[in-house]
Amino acid sequence: MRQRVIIAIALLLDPEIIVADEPTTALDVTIQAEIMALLLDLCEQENVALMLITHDLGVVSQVTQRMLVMYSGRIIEQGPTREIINDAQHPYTQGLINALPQLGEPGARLFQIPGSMPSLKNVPTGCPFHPRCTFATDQCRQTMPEYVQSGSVDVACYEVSNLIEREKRMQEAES
Amino acid sequence: MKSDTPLLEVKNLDVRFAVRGGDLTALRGISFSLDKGERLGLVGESGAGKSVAAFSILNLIARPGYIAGGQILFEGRDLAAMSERELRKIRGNRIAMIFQDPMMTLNPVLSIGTQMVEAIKHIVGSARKRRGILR
Repeated sequence: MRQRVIIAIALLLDPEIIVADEPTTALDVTIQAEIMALLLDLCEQENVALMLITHDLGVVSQVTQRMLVMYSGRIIEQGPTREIINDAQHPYTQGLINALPQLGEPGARLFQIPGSMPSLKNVPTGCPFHPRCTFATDQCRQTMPEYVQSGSVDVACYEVSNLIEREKRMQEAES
Repeated sequence: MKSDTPLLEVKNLDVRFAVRGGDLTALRGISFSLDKGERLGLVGESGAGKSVAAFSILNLIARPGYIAGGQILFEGRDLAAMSERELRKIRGNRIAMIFQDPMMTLNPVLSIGTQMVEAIKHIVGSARKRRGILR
């Protein structure tokens, strides 16, 4: 109920953008769905842009058109939500998606990304995800990767850019 | 007609926190844009900088945090370089914010009606003032 009031106040002045920081985290699951549906309806009706901050990938995939994945203060992957959820490029995003429970495998142990997010006081050199990444190489430990484009998605990962390079070379060799 | 410039464009944003022993970098080189009516998701583990990114859009980073570089362009104007007074016209009015915990946002001592009217008064009041200046 209170969160409904907050949404009402937020929309009262007819804003162009609503920034919602974990709007459903403090609510029960049943109410969460209701509040998200309400927020989505109102945004569509009034053509308001929504920036939705959450750690619930289910909500993101249902509500948003584009998404950003952040890690240690950086955006590591961004692009159309559908594309990222269906075919995540960055090993961290893949880890997040693999950590979701699967309906087909009840009781199965969930995937876990080893380790935890580094503290701001000692961010690792190079790619901040390298200590937890199974693909990490010396290159990853030394310098932060630039963004590369894979489909319509921007990814900051050497593994992905090397893969794209390899594919390009293979295609060139074929033709 | 659809314009080419996005409604909100964050360019190469750096946010740091000044603490003893040097600065901690909370956001590094953040760039993204948001079009009119678009819905954008921001995901990551706790501590990834999601909330700092959200707060910085409204230039609401409290000390010792500060915007160390980059731009936050809303309709072409840089929120990172705006005065508190100008920002107040945008916060709530043009860009609204919904926080995680409604208990923190609402004041339990005041009625809901009073708090809603307060939000409107804040803007109408400043509009009246604007008209006064124009006269």
